[in-house]
Amino acid sequence: MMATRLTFLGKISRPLRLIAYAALAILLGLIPFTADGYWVRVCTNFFMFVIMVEGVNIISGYTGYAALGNVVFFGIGAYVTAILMSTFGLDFFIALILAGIVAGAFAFGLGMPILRTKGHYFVMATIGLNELVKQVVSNLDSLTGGGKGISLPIPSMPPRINYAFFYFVMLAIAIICVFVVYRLSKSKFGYGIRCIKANEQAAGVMGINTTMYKALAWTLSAFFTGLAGGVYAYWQTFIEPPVVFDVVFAIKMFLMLLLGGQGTVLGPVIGTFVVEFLGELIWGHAADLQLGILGTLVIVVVLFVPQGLVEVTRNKTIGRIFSTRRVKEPQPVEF
Amino acid sequence: MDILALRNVSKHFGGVAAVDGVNCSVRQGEIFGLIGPNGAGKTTLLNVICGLADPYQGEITFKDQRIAGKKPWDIARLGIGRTFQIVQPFHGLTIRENVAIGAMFGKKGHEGSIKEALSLADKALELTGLSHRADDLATQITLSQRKRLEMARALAMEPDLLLLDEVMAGLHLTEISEMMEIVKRVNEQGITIFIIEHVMKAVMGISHRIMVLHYGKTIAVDTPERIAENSRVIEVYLGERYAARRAKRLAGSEMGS
Ligand SMILES: Nc1ncnc2c1ncn2[C@@H]1O[C@H](COP(=O)(O)OP(=O)(O)O)[C@@H](O)[C@H]1O
Ligand SMILES: [Mg+2]
Repeated sequence: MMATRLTFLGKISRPLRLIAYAALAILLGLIPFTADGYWVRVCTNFFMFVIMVEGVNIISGYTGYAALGNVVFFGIGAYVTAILMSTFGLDFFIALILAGIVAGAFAFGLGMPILRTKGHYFVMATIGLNELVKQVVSNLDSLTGGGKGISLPIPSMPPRINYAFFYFVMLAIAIICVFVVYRLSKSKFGYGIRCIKANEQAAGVMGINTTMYKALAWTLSAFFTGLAGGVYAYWQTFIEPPVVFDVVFAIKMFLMLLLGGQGTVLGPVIGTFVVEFLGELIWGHAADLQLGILGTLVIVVVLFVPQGLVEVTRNKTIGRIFSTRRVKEPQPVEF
Repeated sequence: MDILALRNVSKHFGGVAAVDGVNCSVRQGEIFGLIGPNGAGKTTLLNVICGLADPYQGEITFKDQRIAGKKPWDIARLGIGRTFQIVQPFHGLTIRENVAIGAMFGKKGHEGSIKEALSLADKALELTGLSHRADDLATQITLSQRKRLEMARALAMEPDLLLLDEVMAGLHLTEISEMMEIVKRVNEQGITIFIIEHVMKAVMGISHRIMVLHYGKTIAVDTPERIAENSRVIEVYLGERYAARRAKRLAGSEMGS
């Protein structure tokens, strides 16, 4: 049998699993009303990175194209939302959907030529793309406000509700995004892109339209990344090019992906969780050490658990502790 | 009837003609052998046919349809499957999943579900004797099994024409006869086979006709018996092995007398 379940909880018996999901849902639902505003923001940020890292996961983890410059779609999503809301007075959710679509269309159009490059060339091309778009946005003063940035309408909500609103919007998109990646991993399309990663030439002669699949994978990746950017823009109420087209952002996304486990559904969630919350805890004590500690963590993971932390949950010994039945089938590839 | 026809096909790599004006036609239902020294252009010819060596000169028709300039996946969906001389499994996928890819994206790929693809894969695995390794990863199986995985994967595409690139290279004698049986069985199912092979006993034993390639040029197309007697073929290719063995045999009989 092909095992493509959420191994994380999949090995636990069904009633227990439902209780676990219910507990998680209640916990997530209560956080914005009970926790300190600071932690609500941390959580919102965590969901935002889950969306972006899953986005990178689709094109890089599953398809094998390391789109380091994927942050460009975050910036595009942020700017499209900002312009549509401020200049054209559109409703937030309409602007947001359009932002995702514009980011996706941008990836599709550029994907055809850029995805012809491979390896380091592709990585550099995506970084170049990010810099290029950043420059264009910085200089289109009349439309984007140029280097001075652009302000969005300030949501007319009391602070507490405001925090909760962005918390739940990010959470909802993150859940949809993880679910889409989960479905994708079990679909023909998912098999297609995994074959492209494994061996693009063989994938082509087996009937996989590699050009189209790569472009579609990047489109989906860009769509979600664009949504994250759109919500971010409205949340912050002000954006400027160096912030939303920040390559350090992009590097952080990859760090989370590698740490958690690329080409898996839950790897990005685990990696983001570790970096965001560990980072947040260290931040309070030793801000200077943050990057150093995360860097060390990545080296340790790459050396000892090259599949990422998600592999630890698949570990037979650990798995058996949670397991209610024998693990007989080979370890699933996806999770 | 010809299923595949090549007219004046050439492929150059920076001024060097790896394939040089090849004309040939493969008949529906036959096993068509392709032999020739290393570097003769056999693999390149296969790459040209399946769309991996675009652009090239000349004209190729498959089932009366021109396929020059078409993408590999379009050619695959028309009904051409192939194996790679250097095996190219999809790592990270099980053997069954590897084979199911053929069913998912091959000739009727767009039609069935993943479940149907997996059951089609099981058939191909059985035919190639890989059923017992279905849940293993491609890294866990032997070379002989990897060669059969290449076959199974292409078979699951339900092709009309199967291009085999040295599926017997590096195998033991028993494995070679097993592979010969598999190729014959596949052919009996009505699949036309175009096979590149260095193992003379095998290619002579199963092919209906054989083409000999030398420096990218066709030097003979004939039945196995006549190819074995063709002086030009002995000179450029068979000679390497056959002549040596014959000389030895002659020397042996002289000493005996
Ligand atoms: N991608 C390539 N680039 C440059 N030269 C190539 C390439 N592929 C094959 N060749 C050359 O073309 C010739 C034929 O190679 P090949 O088709 O692999 O021969 P065969 O399969 O008959 O051993 C060789 O001289 C080889 O070096
Ligand atoms: Mg070869």
